[in-house]
Amino acid sequence: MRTATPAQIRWRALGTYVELSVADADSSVPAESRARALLDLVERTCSRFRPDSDLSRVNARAGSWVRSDPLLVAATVAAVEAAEHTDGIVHPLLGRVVVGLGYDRTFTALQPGRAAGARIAPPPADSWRSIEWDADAIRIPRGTALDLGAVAKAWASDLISRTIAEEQQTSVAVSLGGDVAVSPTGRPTWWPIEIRDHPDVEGTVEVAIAEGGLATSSTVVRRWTAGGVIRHHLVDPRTGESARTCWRTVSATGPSATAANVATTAAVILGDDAIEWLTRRSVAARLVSEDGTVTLTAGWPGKGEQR
Amino acid sequence: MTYSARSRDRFRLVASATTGAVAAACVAGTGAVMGTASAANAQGEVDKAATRQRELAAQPHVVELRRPSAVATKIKVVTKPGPGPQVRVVRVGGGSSGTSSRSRRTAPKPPVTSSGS
Repeated sequence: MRTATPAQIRWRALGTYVELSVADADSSVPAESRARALLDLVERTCSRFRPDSDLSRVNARAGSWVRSDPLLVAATVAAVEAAEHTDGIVHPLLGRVVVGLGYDRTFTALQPGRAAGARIAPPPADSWRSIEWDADAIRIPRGTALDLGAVAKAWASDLISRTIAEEQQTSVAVSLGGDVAVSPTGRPTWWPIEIRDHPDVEGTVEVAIAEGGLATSSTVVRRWTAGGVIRHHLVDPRTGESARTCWRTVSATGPSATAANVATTAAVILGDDAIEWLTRRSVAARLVSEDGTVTLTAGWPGKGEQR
Repeated sequence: MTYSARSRDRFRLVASATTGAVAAACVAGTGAVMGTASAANAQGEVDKAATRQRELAAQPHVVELRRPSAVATKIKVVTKPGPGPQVRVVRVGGGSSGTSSRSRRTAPKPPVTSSGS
């Protein structure tokens, strides 16, 4: 019986890194082709940095119904569900706020030390409840703009891993900027995942999962300076500012990469309240404070680390 | 049919109200009021649908046939944070030469995936 050899392909898309791992290297060529096609589709529909994307058109006509690719509808529904599960802490309508904070172009195109933009007040806390959709059209409330940044990468990881696993009948692990989705088929493959707390520190922890998702949210990457103030991309919808938080990095598992990402994003924004929030939902998580202290919730293995 | 978080909440409330004896008694006592509200709601839905049709008809249909969305959007992704998969610790500590707890096996090791910066 042939022993399958795993393979990994790396490239960049959606402004971040992509790692596609398959349990059987024979599947790597069609798997990569499928992943690239899906990422291209996500980029063309969900990017707020492309004026011709479906999302940009929806934002440009806020208050009216706008035709949209069903893929953006599906991503938007995922973002609305994320808001439902977090009471609006993970908020899909912060597009104008993020632009006001200076994140108005792809992160690699952001110039350091730029001038501060006009401060934009956050939308009403429950405005996400007024997003409407059907199979191929969306309407967002007037005066708001979609930003699916917090959820779209994780959701795309899930989409890609599930599609490839189904088509190629091989176990798949996909990481899109650290949002990892694992889809098993047949005998489980334990995919090792290196968790990085800080870009200047080599991997501090390596864990493995055989299915589901693992995500890491961090305030030490995607940072920029505007008007002399350091900003990061995780925005607190209650203040309209980059979240002031005690955590520099939060990693968590979930039934999918999306669910894991929703948990980590909410945890960073919630700060001190994150432990109780995660524990109440039985989310296994590893939280690293600004001074490097590690806190683990139940379910995250504590071997070698303090709980 | 259009959807929103609000309309889904409304569906849930209706479903909940129709399953209880207490709720049934309330409905019996306020039938006239509910009937009025129901008619107003129906007219509101008709108006909303007409607005939607008007706004969409004024736009070109930009969904490109070459986009393979139909395949992708069949997949339902769980979004609710909750218990995840079992996690195994492989290595704790900086650097790439830490102790590995991987079992000795002859099969090729899966490549390491990254999570984080």
